[in-house]
Amino acid sequence: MSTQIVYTRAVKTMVLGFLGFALAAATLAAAEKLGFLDAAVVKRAMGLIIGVMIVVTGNFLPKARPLNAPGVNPAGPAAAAERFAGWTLVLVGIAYLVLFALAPLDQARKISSLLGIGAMIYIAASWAWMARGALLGGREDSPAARALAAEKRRLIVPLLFAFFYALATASAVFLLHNRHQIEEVSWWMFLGFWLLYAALMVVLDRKRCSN
Amino acid sequence: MSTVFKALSDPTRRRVLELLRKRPMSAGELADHFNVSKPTMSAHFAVLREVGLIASEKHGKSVVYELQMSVLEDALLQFARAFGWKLEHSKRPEPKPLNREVFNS
Repeated sequence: MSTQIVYTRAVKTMVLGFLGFALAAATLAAAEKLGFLDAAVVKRAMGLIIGVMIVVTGNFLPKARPLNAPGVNPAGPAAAAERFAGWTLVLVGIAYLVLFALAPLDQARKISSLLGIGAMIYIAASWAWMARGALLGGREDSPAARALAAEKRRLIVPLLFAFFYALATASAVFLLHNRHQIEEVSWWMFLGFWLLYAALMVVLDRKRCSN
Repeated sequence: MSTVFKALSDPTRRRVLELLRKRPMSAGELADHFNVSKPTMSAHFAVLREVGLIASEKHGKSVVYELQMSVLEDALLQFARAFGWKLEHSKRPEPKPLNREVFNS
């Protein structure tokens, strides 16, 4: 089995996870609007779904190798940073599941938000530290390796962006209680997602063309 | 998942995974840590690559291996280490040796 096939399988699982998450979230929202489900039940179910999404993403993160980019040097610590991020997300996801299954809803929302934000800050800081190798010149790779890494980045970076954006949105929304505020923040986050996603795709395409 | 269990059941393969936790290594570097023939090591690498626990990349004449484990697979490896799957020589028959691996390091 080639590296490419194993890599694609991990990405496919993450994409399916996201689609499942989006479908479940939309179904729950519709059920609440139509009055089939109580608001508290929907909030708890959303927390559990987000927990599953975090566990799935964290599990496959080290396999997808997002830091395996040309210039990220050295390769060993980069893989260790990816593994640690994966473990962090899996543990945070399990904490989400336990909190939303057992704890009072208010506390579950508050604690899970803080955990989610803390994990994102930690992962962003450690990855920025690792990625500095790419900015400073770092490892010299062959043109073929650079092209393969650019293709991989085109798949995994948008996925990870979507995941972290969804987690940031959930963390922000869970800290709010006023329904009007929640709707307003959700709308701005939704708009911001597409703007940032478009900018990200432009940057990735430029990088790919420059390789 | 059963193929992952099978891959992790062999002490040599677990030792390879532990070595790769430190850094990516060439086939030759990895083979230097073991007292088995290089074709046998190639067969172990093939098993690990087949189940997706490691990835290989050609660098000139040598093949460099790096870890590619999910968190669950990593947990299974840690579990195997913690609960008595000692890194001793296995009594099971060794995998069929392969001759196509390049061992320049």
